[in-house]
Amino acid sequence: MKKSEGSLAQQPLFGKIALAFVLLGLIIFLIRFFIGLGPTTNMSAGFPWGIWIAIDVVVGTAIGTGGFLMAILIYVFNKGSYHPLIRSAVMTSAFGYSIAGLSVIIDLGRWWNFYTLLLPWRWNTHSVLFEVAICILAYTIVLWLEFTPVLHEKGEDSGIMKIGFIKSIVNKLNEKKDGANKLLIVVITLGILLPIMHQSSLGTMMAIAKTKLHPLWHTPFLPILFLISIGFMGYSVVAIEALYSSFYLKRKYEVTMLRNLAPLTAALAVIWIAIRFFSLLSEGKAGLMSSSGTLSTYFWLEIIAVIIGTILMIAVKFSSSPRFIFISALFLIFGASLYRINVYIIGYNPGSNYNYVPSVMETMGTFALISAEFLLYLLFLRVLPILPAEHK
Amino acid sequence: MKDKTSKNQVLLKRQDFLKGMVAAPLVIAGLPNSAGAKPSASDAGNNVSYLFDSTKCIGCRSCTSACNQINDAELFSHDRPLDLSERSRTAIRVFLDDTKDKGTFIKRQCMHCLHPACVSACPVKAMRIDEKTGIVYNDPSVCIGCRYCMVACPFDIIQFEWDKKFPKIIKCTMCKETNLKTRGITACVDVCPSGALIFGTRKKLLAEAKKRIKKNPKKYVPKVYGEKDGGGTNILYIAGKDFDELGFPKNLGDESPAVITESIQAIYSWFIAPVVAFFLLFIPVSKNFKKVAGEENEG
Repeated sequence: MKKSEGSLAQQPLFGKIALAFVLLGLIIFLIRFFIGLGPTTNMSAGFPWGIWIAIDVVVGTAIGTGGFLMAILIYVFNKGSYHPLIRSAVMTSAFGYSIAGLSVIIDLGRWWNFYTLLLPWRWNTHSVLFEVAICILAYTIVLWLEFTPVLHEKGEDSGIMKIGFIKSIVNKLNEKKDGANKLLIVVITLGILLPIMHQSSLGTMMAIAKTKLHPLWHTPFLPILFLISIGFMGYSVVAIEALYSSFYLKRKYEVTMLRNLAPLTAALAVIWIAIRFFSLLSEGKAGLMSSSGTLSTYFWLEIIAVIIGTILMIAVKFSSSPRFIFISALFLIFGASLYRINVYIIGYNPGSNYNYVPSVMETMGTFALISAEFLLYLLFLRVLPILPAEHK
Repeated sequence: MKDKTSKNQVLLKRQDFLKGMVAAPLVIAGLPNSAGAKPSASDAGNNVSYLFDSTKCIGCRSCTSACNQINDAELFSHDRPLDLSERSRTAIRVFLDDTKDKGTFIKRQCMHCLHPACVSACPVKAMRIDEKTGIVYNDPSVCIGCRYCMVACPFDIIQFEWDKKFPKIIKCTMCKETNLKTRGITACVDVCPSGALIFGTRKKLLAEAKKRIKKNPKKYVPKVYGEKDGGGTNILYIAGKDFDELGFPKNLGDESPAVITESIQAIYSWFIAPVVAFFLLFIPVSKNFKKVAGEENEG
């Protein structure tokens, strides 16, 4: 880890590729808005949702739950010692959710009617999607509010303060510090409540597709499984993103803090695996684990990734290598992401006359959003005081 | 009739409310719960309905043509669609026997469920049931095009205009604004020359379907599809072959798929549980917030 030539992202080529993806994505999204979803994507009546929902929103917001998980640790379980990690976690979350929201707008067929979601007399409270949409919208706002102290700290002289309305907000907060803190407590509480609601509901959402979602994934435990999987996935994202930030800014790794998080991460993964198997066995679906052809493979891929990640996470206790933490976190993120994609696309079978493979433009669109998120992340990391003071 | 339904709805709302408060923990424990249940099959007797007798269908597809002409005049062609699409709200599918010399025709279109998953799924109430007739329809003026209704529909009926810049959801509306209004009958039944389709109230047609099966038990399988399936549908089917082999969803059961999600979502009725949770979280957060802030100032 002593490569002194700097991180990949500092090399102009890497940044240029990401930027090229973003520009290509802009063109694709223009085509989507001026011609339609049909020519840009491979979605069909059988597969009304593709990767713009399954990856950009369902996996994307799960990756963005680090902020929420750190907030629970620090503010509910009184582990203030983790506070140095929260800023970068909240920033990742804010980008993850904003990009997911953008993807929803791109994916909505009748996006100009989106405002109807904000009219209380139109609310269908039976609808899982209603709850998910409102919560994601509210939580995105909450995340950016949680981020305001960073701007506040950056102070008068920074470039960002030249933007008029940000300056006026920060100044107002400065004037009424007590009031602002009270508001921040409300915001933090909402920032814990809202993800619990909508992350579990992202699982509930597919419970309605009883005849289409393969029984290996369709179970009343969907909301609980989704909620617990963001536990180990989110802490893994926090670890990766903390390690990468230090790598990028050539700083010391927060190994101790991340090692302390490892047992909790592993415990959540173990609980998830236990519930996963309990639900399959109690619903009499044990045979399906081996008899479902390709789907059995995807099922085991998902399970084995989580199991390997868990074992490595437990072993992190005996190692101080940041690379080790990085790899175990990658396994857990891969497993939990595949679980989500299995529920939304791979295990979803509307009938033999339909199949779905994302189109080139669809895939490029997803790459564009991920690249945009990555570039903005690096920019913010350089411009704003995100990482804690280096020595303790 | 109308008074009765509205009273039922008030009652239902109150039940929802109580269930939300009392049943949330039970729901988590996985107990069955029928929050948000729509009127049961017996209440739907006066719904507008039609019966498809597949033993009488000759596969001429007059119905699909008429539907196209009446409801989508600008798209009208004498196409004989093999299945539903955004250009065809109804289609006749053929299911050949193993010997391949005989087959069964099945008319596909919206089943107009009594407790439709699509209506339950729609976040903005763009998908609705017409209270008087039981017709399930979509109001494009509020629809946001999220397509969750398509995910939710167990019959895979709902279509979407993928190739349009300003697309709409397309489905059978039982000619609600067209033939039903002008001639009191849906276009497909209107033109059916073989008597495979008959129109009436759900109660009457259910009785007729059962009568036909009883009279001719060799010709029919002993089941009226739609009587109970998926919580019951307004469109009813009888056939000479097992419905599992005729493209109907397997393992749908007698309950609407919406029952699963609605019982889970009952946790949120009236926002009581979230508000309580908010205050339970607020207490430790405000305590620990001051602590963290204090430590930071010292450091």
